[in-house]
Amino acid sequence: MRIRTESSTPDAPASAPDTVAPVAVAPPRFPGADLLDQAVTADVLFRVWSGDPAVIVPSPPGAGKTRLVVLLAAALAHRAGLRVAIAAQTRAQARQIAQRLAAVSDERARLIVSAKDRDLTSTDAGLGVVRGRQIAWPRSGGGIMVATAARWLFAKPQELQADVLIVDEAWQCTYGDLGALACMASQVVLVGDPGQIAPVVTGETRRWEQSSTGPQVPAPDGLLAEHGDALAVVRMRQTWRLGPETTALVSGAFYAPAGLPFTSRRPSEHLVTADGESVGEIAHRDVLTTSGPGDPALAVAAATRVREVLTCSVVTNDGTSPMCDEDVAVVVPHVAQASQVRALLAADAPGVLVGTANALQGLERRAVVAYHPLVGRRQVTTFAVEAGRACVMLTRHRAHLTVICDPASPDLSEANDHDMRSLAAVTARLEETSEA
Amino acid sequence: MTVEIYDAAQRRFAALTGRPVWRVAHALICSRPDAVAVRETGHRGQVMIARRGGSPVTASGGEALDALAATGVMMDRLNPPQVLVADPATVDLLAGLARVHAGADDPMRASAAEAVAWCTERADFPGSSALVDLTAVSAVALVAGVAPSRDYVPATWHAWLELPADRIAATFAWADVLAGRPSGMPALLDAVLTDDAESWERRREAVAGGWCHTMPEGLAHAAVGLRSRCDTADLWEAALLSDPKWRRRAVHTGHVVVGTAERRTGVAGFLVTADRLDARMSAGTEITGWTGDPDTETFARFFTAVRSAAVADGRLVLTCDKCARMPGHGDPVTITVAPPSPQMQTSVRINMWAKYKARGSWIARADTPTLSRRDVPLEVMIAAADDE
Repeated sequence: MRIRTESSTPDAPASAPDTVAPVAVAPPRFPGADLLDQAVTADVLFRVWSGDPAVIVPSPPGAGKTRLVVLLAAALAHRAGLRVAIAAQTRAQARQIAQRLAAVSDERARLIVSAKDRDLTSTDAGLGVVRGRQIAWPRSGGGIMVATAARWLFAKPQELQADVLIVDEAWQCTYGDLGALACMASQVVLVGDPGQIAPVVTGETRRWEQSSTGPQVPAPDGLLAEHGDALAVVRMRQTWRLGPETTALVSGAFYAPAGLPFTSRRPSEHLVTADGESVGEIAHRDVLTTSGPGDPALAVAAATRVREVLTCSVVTNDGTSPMCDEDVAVVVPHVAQASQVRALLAADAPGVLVGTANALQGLERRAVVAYHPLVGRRQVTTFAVEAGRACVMLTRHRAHLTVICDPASPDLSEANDHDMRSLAAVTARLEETSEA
Repeated sequence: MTVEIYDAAQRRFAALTGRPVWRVAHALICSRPDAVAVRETGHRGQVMIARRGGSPVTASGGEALDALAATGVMMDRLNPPQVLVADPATVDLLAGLARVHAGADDPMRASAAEAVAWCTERADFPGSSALVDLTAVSAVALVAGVAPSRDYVPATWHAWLELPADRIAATFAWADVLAGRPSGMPALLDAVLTDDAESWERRREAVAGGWCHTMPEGLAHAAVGLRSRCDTADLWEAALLSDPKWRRRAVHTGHVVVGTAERRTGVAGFLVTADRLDARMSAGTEITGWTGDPDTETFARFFTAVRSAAVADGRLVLTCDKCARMPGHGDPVTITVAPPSPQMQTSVRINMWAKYKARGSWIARADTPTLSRRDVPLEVMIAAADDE
């Protein structure tokens, strides 16, 4: 439980040293009460608490989805006395939620792990780790249990029935999986980013391709198509991560057409070079490839740009500080490309995060070097032009993004496909940015 | 070398020799003696149908289904039928026929419609031998000296495999070429063939009980159907990696890592050091491997997990957990991602089905949800009502 006192506020006047000032204790706030500070998050809490059977929360990148999930679960468990199940899409996401829950909850919050997490302890996770027969709700009052969606699919509803199921990154969960998960609770909350990578479905889906409620569609889309007006939709419309240029770039291309335009509320943050020259929010670097997406010239260009970025400093409202490895990420479409870049940076910048769009979804860094999804390609593939992947790659940074482009990649400006048109619009705007 | 260069080299070689290059050592399909060939003629939904060695029948509409029934494509047979087609257009045409004539008054025609519907559904399952799209299989198994965009054109394979001019005879000859690889089929595809048989049995029972494939499909069936398709696709990918020729290509995609094992004092597991850095394996990846190169027989495999992946001195170093049959220090090793377990896949599908059938899920039942309100503290109501 957090207790706020006057003396803990930065603007409080100093007390006279020879007198003992009375300590005024503010009414204690319940865990998750920070949701009440913003109308949109308070609205989510109100709707779930009051019993709406389904609440869908579409959010742009950097809107605070994980914060919402954590605080909502804490408020519902601690103040409303409800049993809250949280379904994450990956084990890493489940751990991240668990660690953040540990800061606002207590022994009522538990992380369900499997045999694959045999090295994970309660200390690592930040809160109670349960496996096997230990998996149970607290005997009285509310509780929170976090697990992957795959793990919840193995849970027995008669033993682990919850009041509310929160699905994090819900646009990565299929409607088919949601239908199975939904037997765990009568209420569901779906939080996610509709502009990012769609659920990974390896099987053939042509049987349902004309159906808006097919099992392969993202869970919120399927639920809305099936139940429409019976559902509550609360849209988050502000990003705290992306600056104004990036917001204009991705909101216009990817989110506004889907009814979720958003604005930037990111505090001022930008890079400056060692010479004190300000670095623009977005830049591009052209690399002409000759041997496909795995062309080593791409990795060399990305690594070179990372080293340049590492010589910069970052300027925020709190001051200026040098960039370090942990401030930078490289995001690419393919695993093999990530391996190449990682190898080039292993010696002098081992702390730089390098990964695919799938792996880096949900993460952020001050500066990012991203491959354009079509680099190295001479023909368009569905994978390369998937809007969600492009969107993830263009939204991992706070202060600066450099995009590695290939001048010989296919021109999509005449394409009829929606995803291709979005990517063409983004590519045209990138070409207008300065050459890094 | 990138995989694009590898593929281009194979195409170049095929063009120079005038012969297609095999990308697999194993057969990816089996061709059965009672297989039925179906070719679209291009005339208003007309198809040509024949059994091996039989006279072809040309028909359209319900008569095409009657002709298929005459060749044995019906629900009354105990084992699943096999239909060979040259391209996806024929699959679509057959699916359309089955849909139009579902529940036909003529029981033979209705039975053929259900059997054809089942076959066209199985086209979604790679490795299935119920319906074999020969062009799609050829595009995986072979490389011709043509541009990649021509891989999915039946005429490409007609020319490069020197098939007979007669379209039906060509279809059987084509299937025989693909099925006639000397080393048989990858063992993992046995699970897909078993699934063919089990799916056929379930479908026979359903149809006998009055079910028809045009009846609305609930979310439960769709969800399990999708999961089943994904499981088969995963098995197919693993089956390809079990093929030594395919593995050579997969070295260039990062799916196969070739390196040297290292045993260190104080380390329970072992390390694999590789020259190529583009491995698709990271901490937590479950892997299988063996001592030897990618072409080596793989009976004495080890199964373990990657504990960490790092780059040292310009080489990839994978640290692997302790396991049985660990390679010795200095041994050459080949590792790939571990194949999925068909038993585990089945278990997941059973769990999913049980969840759908559990009581209480309005989403699974596609019911309108009922409201059950709770009292909410005033402070929450006020905060939610704030207009920012």
